[in-house]
Formats: sequence, C-alpha cells, structure tokens
Amino acid sequence: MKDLNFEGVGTINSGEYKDINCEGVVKCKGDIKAEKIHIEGVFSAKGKIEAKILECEGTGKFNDNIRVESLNIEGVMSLKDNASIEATKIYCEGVLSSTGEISTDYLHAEGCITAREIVGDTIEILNDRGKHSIKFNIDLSMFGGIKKNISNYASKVDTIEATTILIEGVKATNVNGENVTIGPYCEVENVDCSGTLKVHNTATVTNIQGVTEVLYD
Amino acid sequence: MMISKKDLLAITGISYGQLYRWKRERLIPEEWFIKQSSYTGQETFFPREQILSRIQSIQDMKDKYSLEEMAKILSPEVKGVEISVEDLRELKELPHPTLLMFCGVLDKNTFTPLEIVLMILLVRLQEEKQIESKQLGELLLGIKNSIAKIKTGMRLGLLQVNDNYHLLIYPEQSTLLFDDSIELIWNAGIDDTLSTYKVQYKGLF
Repeated sequence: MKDLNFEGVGTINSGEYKDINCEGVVKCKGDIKAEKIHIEGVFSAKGKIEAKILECEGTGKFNDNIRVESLNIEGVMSLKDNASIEATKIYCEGVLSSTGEISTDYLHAEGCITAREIVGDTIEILNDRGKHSIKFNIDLSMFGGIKKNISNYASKVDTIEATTILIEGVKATNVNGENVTIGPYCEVENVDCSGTLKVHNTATVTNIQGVTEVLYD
Repeated sequence: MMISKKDLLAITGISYGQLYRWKRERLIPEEWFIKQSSYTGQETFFPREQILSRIQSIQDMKDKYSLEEMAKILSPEVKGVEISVEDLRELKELPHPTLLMFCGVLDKNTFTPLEIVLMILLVRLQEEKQIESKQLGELLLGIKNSIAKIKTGMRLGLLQVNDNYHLLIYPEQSTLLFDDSIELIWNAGIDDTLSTYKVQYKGLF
C-alpha cells in the first residue's frame, strides 16, 4: 500500500492506500480504504471512505458513507445524500454537517453540528454559544400582527439517541437515552429517558416521556 | 410481528450504545432497523423473532468470540463448498435414516450449506408438527425444483390447506396474504438456523 501526498491539485482513484495527506485540492473519484486520511486543504469524495483515522482540519465534502475508527474534525466537514458516518470515536471542534446517520461509541463536540440523527453510546455536544445565540422575539404587531421567533443555535440535531447524552446550547427535536442531561440554553421538543434526566433551568423541553422525576439544575 | 426499539431495549436489557455498536459491527443487519412514522416523527421497529433470537445469540457468544469473529459467524455468507453424506453424519440434528431419505429424494450425495440448513429445518418441522417420514419425503419432493433458488434471507414455511400440507419458501420480512382456507402453521428463518449451526459446527459451514 502506498502513501499519497497532495500539495497542489490532484485526483485519487478508488483503491487501498496507507496514508493520504491532502494539503491542496483533492477530488476522490471512487471508494477509498486507507490507514489514515489527513485533510488540511479541500477534499471532496464521491465514493465510500474507510479508514482507521480521518482528520479534517480543512474542508471535507463527502457524498457517500464514512466508516472509521477515529474521526477528528477541526475544520469543516459536510456529508450529503444521506451519507452516514460510522466511527468508534468522534471529536469535533470544527463544523460537522450531515443529512444521514452518525453512529458512534463516543462523540465529543465543542464545535457546531447540524445532523439528522446522532446515535451511539455517549454523546456530548457542548456549545456555550447557545447563551450568546440570537434568540429574541420580534414583535411586529404594529405592522400587521406579525410575531416572529428567531433563534440561532450552534448545533441543531433532529434526533439524538444514546445511552448517555449531555447537550448544551443544542436545538433538537427528539432526545432519547438512559442518562440524559439537557444543559444550558437547549431547546428540545421530545425527551424520552429511561434512567436519570437532568434539565437546566435555562433549557426548554416540551414533552418528557419515560421518567417520572426530572432533576432541575 | 414487529417490536419497537424501546420495547426491545426493555426486554433484552441492552443499551442504546450496545444496539448501535452491534449494528456498526454488522452483527445486526441494517435492514432490520425499520423506520415507521409515529406522533413524534419516526420510530424504529424490528422483526420481533429475528432480533430477539439474534440478541440472544450475541449475548451467548460475546464472551467466547471477538466482534469480528461474531460478525463472520452471524453473517449470512456461506462457504461455497459441497459437504458429503459421510461428513454430515456428525450432525446429530440429521438422523441417519432421514439423511438417506434426503439423498434418495434429491438424488445426490453432497450438499451445500443451504441445503443442509433446509434439511435441518425439515427435520425440526417433522418433530414439531409430528409429520410422518413418508409425508416429509413428499413435501421435499414438492420443493425439489426450487431448492437451487433458495438463498439466505429467506424463510421456510408450512402451509395447511384443508388437511393437506405444502411447503413455502419466501423472503424474510415479506407480508403473506392468503384466503381463509390457507394457514401458515409453521415457519423458520434460514439465516437464524445457519448462524446457529455456524457456531455449533464451525468447520463445516
């Protein structure tokens, strides 16, 4: 297996490689298997990606499924066409955007995540940006009764489902788990918790199922 | 019959983390995660019998095998080999006279893993429904021409039409609709049986 190093513009055909280092602009035409993929430039992939380590410090655009042991995001990573991520561990200090399922044993995010579904064992999404986010009512009643609620959360996820969940500054539709902590400035529509549920007093939760007792911070 | 994800976790005692880890490791097929609309948006359901049996198998094996080994054992892939009648004598699930009957009806002395699974299921069917050997031979003869088309991901069923029995081979998770005179009185999955015997007779399958 050979290494691939890109510092300019390049194309990768499908195949099996050892380390792929992208510091330029790289287009990947097919399915790729590698030990490690490191992105500092712009990387776009049409095929499936399978690797032990995927590091994205630049911009990564993916159109098909990603299966890795470790995923580190410090740049911007986006997945289209319902492409999924399967990873043992995910660390995100950058931006992750996905229309598919993200499945992992452990996710720790301090950046910004927009996703349809995050599932796994332990999911931690911490955004202190939530408290600084734009969240106010514009009362335009004098201009014809329009009242609009504008909110801008750092992370928005449709469904989070895991054994242990800790979220801060996240807007979510469904949060299902065993041990769930809805931290400061979250806005969650439905929570289904089979163990312990903690809700911060600045968080909003519309419906709670499963637990009979909610601990409020 | 289906089971919701919530009920599955409650019944089996496994966590969300385990369920999704096993899915990632291909121990649970992705197609068993069936999303259906609910008042909160979407809810996931599973084919009840299959998922409960699979989780039981995983729990039984997890201390003996690695996740990778389990994935191989539980995958519906089979070796492309033919196994001779002599080698099949070690299978206690196939009594010798019945095995000889299979050889006679199918007119062969070597069998593929899927044919062996079919024979094991027919023996189980015979015991559970108390079917005579002669009748079992007739049932086997009835599907003789379809045996080559049997694949993983299928089920074997026994239909009762008035006082007559007929065998049915159909894809997993399909909805079967009959008129009132026909009843599906027994069925079993090829994949589940294959997984069980892959564990029991590692070298053979």
